[in-house]
Amino acid sequence: MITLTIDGREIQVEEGATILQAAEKMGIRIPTLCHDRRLLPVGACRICLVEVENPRPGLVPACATLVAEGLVIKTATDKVKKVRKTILELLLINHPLDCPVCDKAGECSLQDLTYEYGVSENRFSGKKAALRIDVVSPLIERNLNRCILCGKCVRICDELMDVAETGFIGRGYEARVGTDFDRPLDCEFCGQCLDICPVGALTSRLFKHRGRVWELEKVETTCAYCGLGCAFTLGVKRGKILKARGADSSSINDENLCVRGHFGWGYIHHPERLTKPLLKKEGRLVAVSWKEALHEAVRRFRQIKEKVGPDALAGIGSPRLTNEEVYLFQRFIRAGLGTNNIDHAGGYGHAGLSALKDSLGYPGTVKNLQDSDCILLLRSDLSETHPVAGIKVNLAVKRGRAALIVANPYPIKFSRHAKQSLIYRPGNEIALLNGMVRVMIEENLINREFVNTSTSGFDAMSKVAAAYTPDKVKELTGVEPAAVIEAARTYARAERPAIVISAGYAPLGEDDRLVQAAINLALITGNPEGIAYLVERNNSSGAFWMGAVPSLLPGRQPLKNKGEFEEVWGAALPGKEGMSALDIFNEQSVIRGLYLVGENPLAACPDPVRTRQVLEELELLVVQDLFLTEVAAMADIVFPAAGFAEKEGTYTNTEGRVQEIKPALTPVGEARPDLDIISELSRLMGHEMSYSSAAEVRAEIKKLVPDFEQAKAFEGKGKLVGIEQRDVVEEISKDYPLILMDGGLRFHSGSLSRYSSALTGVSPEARVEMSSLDAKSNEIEGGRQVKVRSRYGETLLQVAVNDRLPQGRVLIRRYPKSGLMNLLPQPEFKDGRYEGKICTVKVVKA
Amino acid sequence: MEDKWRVVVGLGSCGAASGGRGVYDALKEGIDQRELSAILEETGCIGMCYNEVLVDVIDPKGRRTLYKEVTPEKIDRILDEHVIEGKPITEWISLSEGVVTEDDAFLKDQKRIVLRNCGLISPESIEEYQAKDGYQALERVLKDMSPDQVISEILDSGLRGRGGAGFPTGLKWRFAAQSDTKPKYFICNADEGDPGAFMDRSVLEGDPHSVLEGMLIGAYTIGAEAGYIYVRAEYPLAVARLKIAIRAAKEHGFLGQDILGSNFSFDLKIKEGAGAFVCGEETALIASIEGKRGMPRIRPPFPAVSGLWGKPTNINNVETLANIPWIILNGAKAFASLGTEKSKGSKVFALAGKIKRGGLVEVPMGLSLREVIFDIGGGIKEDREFKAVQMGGPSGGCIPAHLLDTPIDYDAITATGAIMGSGGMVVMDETTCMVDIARFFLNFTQAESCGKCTFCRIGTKRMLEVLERICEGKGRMEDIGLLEELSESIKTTSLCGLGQTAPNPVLTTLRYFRDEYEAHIIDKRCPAKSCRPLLTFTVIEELCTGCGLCAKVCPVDAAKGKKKEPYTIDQALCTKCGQCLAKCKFEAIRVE
Repeated sequence: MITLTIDGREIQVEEGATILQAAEKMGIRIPTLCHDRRLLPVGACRICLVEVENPRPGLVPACATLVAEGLVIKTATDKVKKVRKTILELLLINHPLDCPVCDKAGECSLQDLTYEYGVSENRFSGKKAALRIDVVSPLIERNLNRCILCGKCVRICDELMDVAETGFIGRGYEARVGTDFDRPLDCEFCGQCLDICPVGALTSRLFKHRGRVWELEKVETTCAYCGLGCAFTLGVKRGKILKARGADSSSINDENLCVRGHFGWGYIHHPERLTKPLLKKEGRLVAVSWKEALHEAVRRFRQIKEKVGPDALAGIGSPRLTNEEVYLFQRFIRAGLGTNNIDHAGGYGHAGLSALKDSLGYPGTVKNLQDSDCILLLRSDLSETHPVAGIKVNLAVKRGRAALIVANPYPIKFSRHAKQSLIYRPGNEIALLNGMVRVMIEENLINREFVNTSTSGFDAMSKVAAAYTPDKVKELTGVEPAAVIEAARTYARAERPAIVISAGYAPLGEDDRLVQAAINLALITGNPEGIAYLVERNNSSGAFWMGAVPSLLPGRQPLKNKGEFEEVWGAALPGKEGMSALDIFNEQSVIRGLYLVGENPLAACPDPVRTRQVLEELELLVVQDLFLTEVAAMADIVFPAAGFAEKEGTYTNTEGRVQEIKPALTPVGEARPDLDIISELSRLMGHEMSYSSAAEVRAEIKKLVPDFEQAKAFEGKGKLVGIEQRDVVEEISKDYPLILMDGGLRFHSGSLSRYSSALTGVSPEARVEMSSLDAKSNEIEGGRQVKVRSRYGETLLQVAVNDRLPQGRVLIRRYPKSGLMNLLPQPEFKDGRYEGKICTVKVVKA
Repeated sequence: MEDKWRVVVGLGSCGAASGGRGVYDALKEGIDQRELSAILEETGCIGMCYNEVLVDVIDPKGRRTLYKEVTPEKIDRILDEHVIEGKPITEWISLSEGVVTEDDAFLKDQKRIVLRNCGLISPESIEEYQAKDGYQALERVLKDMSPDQVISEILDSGLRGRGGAGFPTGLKWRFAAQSDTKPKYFICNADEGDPGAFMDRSVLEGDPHSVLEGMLIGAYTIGAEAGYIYVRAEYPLAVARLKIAIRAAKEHGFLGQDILGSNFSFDLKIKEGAGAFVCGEETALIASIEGKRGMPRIRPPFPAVSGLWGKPTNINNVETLANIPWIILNGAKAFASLGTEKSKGSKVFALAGKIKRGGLVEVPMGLSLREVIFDIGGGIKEDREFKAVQMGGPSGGCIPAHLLDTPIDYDAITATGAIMGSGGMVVMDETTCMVDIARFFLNFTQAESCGKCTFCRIGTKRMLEVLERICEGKGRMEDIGLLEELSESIKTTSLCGLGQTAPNPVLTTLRYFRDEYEAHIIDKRCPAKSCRPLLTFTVIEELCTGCGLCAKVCPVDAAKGKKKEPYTIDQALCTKCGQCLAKCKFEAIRVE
């Protein structure tokens, strides 16, 4: 600890702290413009200058000067104040005083400081800047006339996002921030620069002239796109969300947001939102009252139940729902309809979570990824799937100098910082991991003590791994033996290594096996805290935990424990295991009535032709959603539901943190929160539910699920399980010569993003990416429409030539309407589980 | 070789710029035509830039005759009379043993350590460098000295950084040697950017091996395995000669793996800078080598701890490094015996401006400015009155006549408000306007500011505007206070040396020539008759012959009159372009 004196008071702070941090600790405010706690200090603006009295008198920037023993600082002497005032005068010479029409007014640091330091007149005069305003770039308006060159946008784009879209151009007085050759922005549009800009140089087009900052009601809530669950603050004016910015430095995102968080919420105000319940009359959906729609649904559910039995009914929920909604939904299906036929999103997202629960006892951790000294990015195109987690990897690698091993079937953005980039044959991750495990055991790089005291199953696991010799791994994955050995050594020798896996990428149904193989690696080296499993949706983790699965009750309790639930719910529960979504859409489907909440199986299940057929043959289809989706259009009854900003509740993020969402708006039209709809329906079905708030539901959940807030860390016992690599790739043949890879896309997530004009604006069209060699041999040019054809179907897409892709592989990212599902095979039911395959395709000119 | 005549042409940038290449070609042709066995060579700058093109004729006995201002037309006589007939052409001689010339004074008081070989050896020949004891210091260091011993030796010599700030070189090396992170880097800063300064360029062009040897000794001392020479791309000749030197040093085993069997290895690369003044600042220079925009960053950490690619890095300037081999071979004592208490050794200066013998000189520390300017430099051109000498380039200041006896000493010069700097000495006479000089340097620094710190970016621009205003006669009395306040703020609040020193030219001119500022502001008058907007051009009736030339050249028809009668100048129309003054054959135009 270091002792120093600030403004006459002594304080002790840790070595390495800055004067600014020490002052903040004491509650002394020092103004800043170029400082942000997430960025490395640069000391450019000089507004934070403070006076050093001892040892060497002078002015130093508080943001960038480290504390030293015996330092005596004064933060607000006349000299300091005068310098600060002069800096403001200088900045204000050129800064246009257009605050009345500037969208930053009210949260502008320059404005606030000008007010605070009383700069009412300026001793200097000079021309106002007259640079052209960038009106071309999407989402972000750049008015460099207002720029004060603090450089924060440049630095956050480089240091955190690793994009470096802009930089400084020109020298001296002509210096400014710009892109190369002044082209419009063509970046990830994360919008981080908007939040960090202290003035109105960068503003959101979505907010442009739509409100004053002080008119906005600020609602701190949780982003509803991916499983990270970033905290963000919505700015709401007269029932409209106008902006969003990252919030809460203690949450997973540390104030950062990605493009979806910053700009993707617009779907909530989309004109096609459902505003009234719909009922199919004479083949057409017509608007009816809630009463009529609900009663009709109940009448027909009852009819099927009585005629065929409760197991002819099924419900499929969504990982987009809140914990409370999922909980009530499964309670309704089980206690109200009387069946365990319940699932969500195809029901595969939870497989990896299951493995984590079983073998590690907690769902992994993301928050401290940036402190790792070695990161194995396994099948994780983070800048596309979970950009905010990508920031942590960037920081670990660029700032912390962590060794990065990228293992992916195609090169990703992080590959260029990788110590090793292992491009493997799609679907063969397990072989790669087993190979690494084998090297570690062979070279005695494992933590014996930890294995002995804290794990079980080592011998059986090592027997399986022993078969994965470097040569065999090469045969399966295509990765050179030396590379596998090096990767194993790098990982094993690190002190705080981490493995990152993003959930739910092909092949279907493999995630639990993959996660277990990764757990093996983590456990034998004694690193149970270094696993991050990133689920796709905002409440994938909660949907699984709250029991939207056919075989498990809330809290992952087996059906045989139903007694406790029957007691609380006051109803008898079925004991027979229910059908999963894949069963429901199977050829032998016996389902007559289906209740879909926030789910569109046509977009989420493989083989849409058959899925459609099953749906068409239903006697009753009830759909509850925000939009009249493809499947809602087929429904007999449609309930309009409220979106994430129109309701209350909680989401559980990928680390098992339960995070609140708060209503920022009243639901559009007659739409109602899913919680209300489900409880009303249940009541009408004869299973009483009565809650005045989500909190009441939560109280009930906590009674039945004591670990509603899941364990956050490894608790001492881990399981090692040997996992064999399955042959997951279909045969490559003359007719189907290319392996299809499935990739994430930062601009989209599920189907909601397609109703966000901001997101579709920057990423309008689904594409298939192929290497130039493959394009050439198929006589295909970039930008052309092509047909991608598999053994099961085809889809029409635009071609993008991507020279970083290995030959023989094509990549389709998850755009809404990419038609990816048309191409995938139905998973096979084998040994009690569904097993998917990676399919091979042919690309032909359209 | 000894029995042949040698003809050596000075082909530094100064020689080349004066037509040296043409002289060289003419000599080649002349020698060939006459079928002489004389050897034609080129060398770097000997320092007498005012006499370029210089040609050294060395007879087989080794007697040198240096001819000045040689043109291709003169080579016939040089070859025929001197080389063939053995009769030197006395009237063209600049220097020659036994011949008294006025150029003798130029060299008399110099002490050439850094420039020991410049103008004497071929910079493209490692053998000639070796013949002058080249690489012997390296050999001695590698064979007989530990890094600590080298550091002690350099500390004892009192050598201070010649790039401007004057930090003790031995101390710098010790810091870098103490860092235990590997790898370490050793960088030579050859980003000489001060207007009017060309010391480093001349050394690189004239004796590149001395710099390489200095680097190698330094790299060995701090434990660096790789290094860079950061040289501006505007020095193509220096770059070319460095490349040749590096190649030769590698071929001779002085560079590369296991140098001279010592286990010490050093790899050296040239990084060409794009001419940003701020890249002379060490952290900006490091950023530039890393491929980033050249912008200074906060220190600490100092480069000795975290420099290039985050590794310990030592940076020395060209001149500093060229001193090193000499110190090793001649001993710290010999070096320390020169100079003053705190400034040891010699210093190279680029004499420029209104001086008779402009060029490159190296003098022992402690010599007075007067001795340098008047004894070595020969005084002021056209025997005008000395007004001030600007030292330290844009970061320095102007030293007035009454301080001419200030010795060349880091601290003594700093006390005047100027700085030793890298060695630029711009001499000014009565026709130089000091406000205009301040404006000139401010214009330079504000354009070269990287734009990072608010004061340096905007403050210097405002100061420039104030100075421009004063030069145009639109100044206000409060402007002086404003300049002083801004200067103070920029100095105390800027991050790097560029900003911290940028106001120096203004501060020193305000300190010593405040009357000139006041004359501009109050009387709307430029005492040096240099600021055109403040001048009035009138016709002296008694001298005007009425030739009408002024009216002919006047672009705005302000000069009017009838032939053979005195003309007049319409002040309302006059744009003060000075054409009439330049053209008048009868000195009949008065400027006030």
